[in-house]
Amino acid sequence: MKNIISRLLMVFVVLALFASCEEQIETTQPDNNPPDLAFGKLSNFSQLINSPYDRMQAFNYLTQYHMLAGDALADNGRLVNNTGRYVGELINQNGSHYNYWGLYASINDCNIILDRIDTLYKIPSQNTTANRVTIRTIVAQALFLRAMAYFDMLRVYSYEPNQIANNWDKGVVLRDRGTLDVSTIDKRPRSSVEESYQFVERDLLRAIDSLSVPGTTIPNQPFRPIRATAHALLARVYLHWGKNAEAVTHANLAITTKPAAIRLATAAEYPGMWNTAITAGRVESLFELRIFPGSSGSNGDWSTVDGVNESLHSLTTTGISTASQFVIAASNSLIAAYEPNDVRRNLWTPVNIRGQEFQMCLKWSGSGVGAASPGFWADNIPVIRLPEVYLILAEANFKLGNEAAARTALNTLRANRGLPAVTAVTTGVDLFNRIMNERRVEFAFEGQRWFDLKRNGQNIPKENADPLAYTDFRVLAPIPLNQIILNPIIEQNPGY
Amino acid sequence: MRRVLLMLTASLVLVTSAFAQERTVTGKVTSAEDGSSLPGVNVVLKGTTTGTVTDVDGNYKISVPSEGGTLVFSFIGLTTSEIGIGSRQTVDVQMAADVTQLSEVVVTGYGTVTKRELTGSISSVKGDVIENLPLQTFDRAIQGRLAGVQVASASGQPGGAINVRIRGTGSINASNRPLYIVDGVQMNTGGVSTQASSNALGGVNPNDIESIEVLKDASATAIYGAQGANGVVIITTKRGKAGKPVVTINAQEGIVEPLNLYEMMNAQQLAEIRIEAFQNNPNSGGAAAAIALHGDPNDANLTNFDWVDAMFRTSRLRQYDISVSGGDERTKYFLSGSYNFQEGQIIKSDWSRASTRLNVTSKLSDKLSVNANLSLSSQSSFGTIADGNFVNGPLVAAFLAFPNVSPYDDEGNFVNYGDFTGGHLFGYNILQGVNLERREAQTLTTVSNMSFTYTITPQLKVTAFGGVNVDLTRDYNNRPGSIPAFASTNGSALVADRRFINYNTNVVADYSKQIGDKHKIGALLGYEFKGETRDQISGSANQFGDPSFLLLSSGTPSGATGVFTEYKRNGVFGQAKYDYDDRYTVDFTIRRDGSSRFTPGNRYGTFYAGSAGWRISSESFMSGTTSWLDNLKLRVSYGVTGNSEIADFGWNQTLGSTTVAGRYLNAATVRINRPLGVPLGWETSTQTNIGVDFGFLSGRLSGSIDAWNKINSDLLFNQGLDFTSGFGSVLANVGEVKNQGIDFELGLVPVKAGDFTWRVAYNQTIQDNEITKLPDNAPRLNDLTVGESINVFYGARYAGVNPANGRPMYYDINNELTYTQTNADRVIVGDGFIRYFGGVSNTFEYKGLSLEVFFQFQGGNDVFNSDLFNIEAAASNTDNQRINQLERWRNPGDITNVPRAIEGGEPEGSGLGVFSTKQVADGGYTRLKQVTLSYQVPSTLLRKVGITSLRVYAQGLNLATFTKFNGIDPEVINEAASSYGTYPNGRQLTAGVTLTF
Repeated sequence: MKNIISRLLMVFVVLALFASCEEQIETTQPDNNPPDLAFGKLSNFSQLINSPYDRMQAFNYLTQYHMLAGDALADNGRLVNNTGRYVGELINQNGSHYNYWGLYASINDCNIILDRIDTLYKIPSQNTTANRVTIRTIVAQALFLRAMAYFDMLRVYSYEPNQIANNWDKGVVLRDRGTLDVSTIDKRPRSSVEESYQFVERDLLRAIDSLSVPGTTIPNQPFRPIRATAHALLARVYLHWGKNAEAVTHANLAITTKPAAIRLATAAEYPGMWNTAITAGRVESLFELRIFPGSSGSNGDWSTVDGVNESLHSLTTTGISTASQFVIAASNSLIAAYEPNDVRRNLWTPVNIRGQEFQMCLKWSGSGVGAASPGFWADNIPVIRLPEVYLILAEANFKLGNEAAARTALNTLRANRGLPAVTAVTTGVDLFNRIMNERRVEFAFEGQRWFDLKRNGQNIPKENADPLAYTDFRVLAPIPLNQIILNPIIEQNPGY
Repeated sequence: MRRVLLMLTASLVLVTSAFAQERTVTGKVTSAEDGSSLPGVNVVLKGTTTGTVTDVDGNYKISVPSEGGTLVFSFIGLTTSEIGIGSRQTVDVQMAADVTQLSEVVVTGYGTVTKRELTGSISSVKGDVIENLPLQTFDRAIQGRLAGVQVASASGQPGGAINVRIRGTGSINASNRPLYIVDGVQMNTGGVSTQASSNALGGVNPNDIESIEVLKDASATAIYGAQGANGVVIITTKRGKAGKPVVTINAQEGIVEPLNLYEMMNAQQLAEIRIEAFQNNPNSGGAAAAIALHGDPNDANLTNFDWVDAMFRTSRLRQYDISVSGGDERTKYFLSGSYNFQEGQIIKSDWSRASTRLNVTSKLSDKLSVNANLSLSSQSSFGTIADGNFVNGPLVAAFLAFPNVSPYDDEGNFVNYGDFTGGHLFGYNILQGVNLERREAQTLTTVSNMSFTYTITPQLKVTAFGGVNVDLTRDYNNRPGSIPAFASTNGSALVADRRFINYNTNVVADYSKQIGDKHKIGALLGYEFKGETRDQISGSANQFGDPSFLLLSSGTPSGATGVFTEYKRNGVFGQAKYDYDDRYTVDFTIRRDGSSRFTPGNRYGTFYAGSAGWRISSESFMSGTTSWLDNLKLRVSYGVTGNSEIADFGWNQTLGSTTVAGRYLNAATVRINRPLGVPLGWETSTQTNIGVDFGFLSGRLSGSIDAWNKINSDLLFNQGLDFTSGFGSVLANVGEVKNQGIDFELGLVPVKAGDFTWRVAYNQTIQDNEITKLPDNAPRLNDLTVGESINVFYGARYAGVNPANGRPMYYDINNELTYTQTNADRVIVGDGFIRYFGGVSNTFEYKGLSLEVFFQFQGGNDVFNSDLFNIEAAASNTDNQRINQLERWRNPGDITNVPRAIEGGEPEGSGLGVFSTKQVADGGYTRLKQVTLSYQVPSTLLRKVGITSLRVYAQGLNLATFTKFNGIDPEVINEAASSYGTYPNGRQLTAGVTLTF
C-alpha cells in the first residue's frame, strides 16, 4: 500500500515538473506592446497624445453636455421635448450637474507623456532635429490639455479664488505624475483652489514656452491647440482668477500671435460660419475639437442611434434632420437679450410645437446632414473662439478700471455682429452688464453662461422661478460618491 | 421498472484469458417485477475479470471453471445478485429494482464510481427527468432538481442565457459559472452573440443526455483543480446498447403565452394625470401643453393603442427528435437528430436548432477500445434588445409608449413616433423598430471527442482523450434607413463573425485492484492541456440605396474590426482511493495547474482535497437494523480548488491600440490599458463538506443532507482605484467571501398500493453569503460591505408622501423626514442574495398513467426593479404609467404612497431617479414549474403492430407563480444589480407523442 502511494507520488512529481513548463502556456496578445518598449519610440507618443482628444469626445464632456449644460443650468434654456435630458438641469435639481471627474483619465494620459517623453533624447535614433520639434509639440499639447482639464474641473467643482462662498476654498486633486503602477497612487486630498489655479497657470506658461521656440508648429489646425490658443486659455484662467492684468496681457498675446487665418467672422459671414464643413474648421476657432463622423471617440458611434440621442444637432433642432429630438430651445430672456440688427439673432428661428412657439437654435447644423458631405449629426466643438478673447479683454479691462479699452474690445466684436459701437456714455455697471450681455448672446448654447454668472459671484436667474442664490450648494457639482468612499480624504462639496 | 441504459463502463468489461479447464454456463436474466427480459446486464465471474453482457433477449453465455464459482449480475438501478453456479449448466436470474440506488453509477471527473463508493458531494439528474421538456438548453432543465444548484434563466428569450450558481456566489469579479463538461469536452459558456440572448450550451440537444452530474464539494471538484471552485457540471450523452436497433421518435407542439405583464394606463387615464402634472409646473405650459401631447381625456375619439398587446404574442413551439441505437458485443452506436423551433413572446423573436449526434464505442481488440462522440448543431435566433433602459428595446419601450398615439397612420404605414409625442422615447417607434430591424444570430456548434483506452493489465488502463468545442457565430444587424433614427445615414449594417475554438486533451492512467475480500485500491494519474481562442472580425456599412438592401457591399463601408484573444492551461493530477470492506472509504486528490491568465511566475497553483466515508449501516453492530435501515453513510471532505475565470490578458500592462472608434482626426490612438498592480494569481476556494446519506424502509424514504462551508479568498477583484490616478480599477487578488449552507435531498414514496404509486422528490438549499474582507481592509467598497452579502444594495429609505403637499419624502440618516436625501442618507435597503431555493416534484403513477407536478421556489432575497423608475413615476416623467399611479396625491390630506404628479419632478429636493426602498421588493417566489401528464399505451396492444412503446403526453411550464414581487418575472431579475427591461419567461403548453419500435 504505502509502497504504491509513494511510487504514485513520485510519478506525480515528475509529471508536475513536466507540466510546469511555462512555455506550454505562453500566449500572445496582438497589437499590444509592453510600455517600456513602446516608450522608446516617438511614433508611440504621437499616437498616445491622441488619447486625451479621443476621451474628450465623451458625451458628458466636450460634446453636447459641455455646450448645453451651462445654458440649461443658467437662464438661457427652455425645455421643449421631455426626453429626460436637461430636465433636471433646467430646474437645478439636486444632482443634475456636471460630472467631470472622468477627466482624470485624460490628465493621466498627459502625465504619462510628460513623464516619459524626455527619455527619447537619450536614444540616438530618436533624437533627430525633426523629432525634437515633434517632441516639443507633443509636450505642449499634453500641457495644454492637462491645464484645460484641470481648469474645467475647477470651474465645475470649486468656487473661483476671489469668489469663495461658504468658506469653501477646495480646488481639485492635483496629480502631475502619470500612473503606471498602482503602488504609486497615494491618497491625496483636494488642493486649495489657489494652488490649483497656480498649477494650471504653470502648465499653460510652459506650453507657451514650448510653442514659442521658432519652427515649432502643431499640425491639423484648428483641431489641435497652438500658441495663441494657450494664451487665450490662460487669459480665460486669469479672468476667473481675478488676475485681470494678466488676463489682458495674454488676451492681447493671443491676438498678436494667432495666424492671420484665424479672425473674427464678419457680420455677413457669421451665420454661415456655423455651417462650415467639419473637415475645415470654423474661421474663428482657436481650438476646435474635431468630431469624427461615424464614430465619436471611445464613447459611441454617431452614425447610428448615438447621433440621434447625443448630438448637439439632434438636441437643439427639429425639422432639419429626421428623428431630431429638439430638447432645448432659447429662453424668452435670451431672445430678449438680442439687440436689433444683431446677426446672431438670425441663428434663432421660431418653431411651433404643439401650439407653443419655441426659438430653435441654428448653430448646430449637423454639418451637412442630408447633404453629400459625411457629417452625420456631427458638429465640431469650438472649444475657444476668438470672440472670447475680445470679451476677456473687455471684462478684464473693465475690472481694471480701463473702461475705454473695455469698450474698444467690445466694439471690435460688435462691429462684426452688425451692431453699433457702445459709446463712452456706457460706463460702470451698465458697461459691465453690456459685456455680460454680449457674452450671453455671443456664446448662447456654447455652455458659457453658467460660468459667466458664477465667475462674477452672481445669483443665477431662472425663468418663471426664483433665482438660484450664488451661495446655494447647487452652484457646485457633486463629486461622485464612489470616489469619496474610495478616498475619504477627498472632501465632498457641501450639501451633497 | 426503471429503464436505464447500460452503464458506461460496460464497454470496458473485459473478456479474459481462458482458464485451463472450463465449461460454459448459459442463462436468462429477467425482471423480477414483470418478467420481461433484461438486456445489457453485466455478468461477471466473481474474483476474476471474466465477464459478459446479456443480449437483447436477456440471454448470456459465459465460460466458468469446471468447479463453478459465483456469478455477479449487475445493472444500474437493479440490486446486484450473486449466484453460486455449483454444477448447473443454466443459471437463470430474476433481478429486482435496487431501492437504495446504491449501485447507480455516478460520473466523476475522469471516471465513474457507484453511489456506494461515493464520498464527495455529487448530485445527479438522469436524462429521463428532463427528456422532452420544451426547454432549449439542459441547464434550464435542471432548475429546481438538484440541491445546492441554483438555476435562473436570465432571459425568457428562447435559447437565452441562464445563470447557474453552485453553492453560493464566491467570486465578485471572476466568473461564478461552473465548469461544464460534455463527454469530457470542456465547454464554452456564456453568450455567443451580440444580437440575441444566447447560450453557448445550446448546441447540445437535451434529449441526447443520459445523465447530468453536478460536482459540488472540493473532494469532487479538486480533480479539476483550477476550474473547480464554482463546481463542475458533467454531461454524459446517451450510448448505444447491444441488440437490435431501437428507434425512438418524439414529436411535440405547443404554445408560449406571456405572463403577468405590467398593466398600463389607457389614453384617457394618462391624459388626465398628465394634465394634472403640467398644471403643477408653472414652466410646462399648463393643461393646453399636456393636451397637445397626450390628447384630451374628454375627446370621445381619442386614440387608444395598446402597445404592449401589439408587442407581445402567444407564440408557437415545436420539437421533433429521432434516435436510433443499437450494436453488438463489439460495437455500439447511438444516432440522433432533432429539430427545435420556438417563437418568443415578443414579436419577431425566435430560436431554432437542428442537431445531430453520433456516439460510437467499439472494442478494437481485447486490449484496445475506442469511443467517439460527434455532434453538430446549427442554431439561429432572432434577438430582442433587452436588459437595459433602451428606447429601442421592446421590453422597456412597449410599456412606456403613449397610448394616444398609434404606431401606424391611416394607410398602415409606420408613423414617425417622435412627431406626435414631443420626441418621447427619442422619437423611436418601437413597433417599427422591432419589425424592421434585423437582429439575427446563427451559430454552428460542434462538441466532439475521441478517446482510446488501452488495457495494459486487467487492473491498469490508460486512456488518451482529445475533444473540441467550436462555436462559429455570425451576427447580422441591419438598421434600415426607413427607421427615422437611421435615416441620416440611409441605414446601416453590421456583420460580425465570431470564432470560438476550445480544445482539451488528456492522458489518464487508471489503476484499481481488489486485494483479498476486503481491500480495494484505486489510483488515477493524468495530464491535461487546454487551449482556447476567440477571435472576431466584423464589417459595417451605411448609405444603402434602399431599405431592403442587406449586404455590406450594397452600402458604403464604414468600419472594420478585428479582435483576438486566447488562453492556455495545463495541469497534472492524481487521485488515490482506498476502500475497506465496503465500510470505510478514503480518497485524496491533488492537481497542479498553470494558466496563462496570470502574471508569469505566478501561473501555477496546487490544489488538493481529501474525503472519507463511513458506511455505518454495513457495520456488524448495525446488523439488527436491516429490517428498516437500507443505508446509512457519513461523508466528510475538505479541499482547496481554484478559479481563473478572468480576462485572458488581465495581468499585463501594454500600450495598446484603442478601437477604430477611438481615433482622433482619423489617426491611430494608443493608450496604457491598465495600471500595473500586484502580480495576479489564482483565486482559491476552500471548502468543507459533511454529509449523511440515508435510506429507510426499503426505499420508501431516502436522501442526503450536506452541510458545507466555502471560503473564497484572494478574490480576483476589480479593486476600485481613486480615479484621480486616471484609472477606475485594477484587477488584484484581494478580498474574501464566505458561503455556507445546507443541502437537502429527499426521496419519499408516501403511497405504494397495488398499481398506484406516489413518489415525492424534494430538494432544498439554505445558504448564506458574507463578505469577510475587502481590499485595503476597507469596510465598504461601493455597495460591497464587509459583514454583508455580496448582493446588498444601498439607497434611500422612502418615507411616503407628505399629505400636506404631495411631495415624496425620505428618511435621512437620523431617521428624520427629508425631501432631499444626501449620499450620507443612503443605507442598505435590500439584499439580493438568494437565501433558499429548491424544488418539489410529485409523481403519481397508475398503470400506464403518470402525472408529475413540479414546484420550484427560491427566496430570502430582495430585488431592485428599475422598471419602476419609468412606470411608477407619478406621471412626472413623460412615460406611460402603471395603473397604480392613479393613486397619486391630489389634495391636501390625501394619504397615499404615490406623490403628486408634476411635470419634470419636484424642482427642490431629490429628482425622479432616486433609488429608494420604493423600487425594492421581496424577490421570493414559488412557481408551479411543470405539470406533465402522460399515458403509456399498454404494450400488449402495440406488439401486434410492431411497436415497442407508445407514450402520449401533455405538459405545461410556468403554470402559476406565487410571489410578492413588484415586477413581471422574479426569476429573470439580476440578483446583483438593477434590472431594466428583462425578457420574462412565458407559460408553455405542449402536447406530444413518443414512439419506440
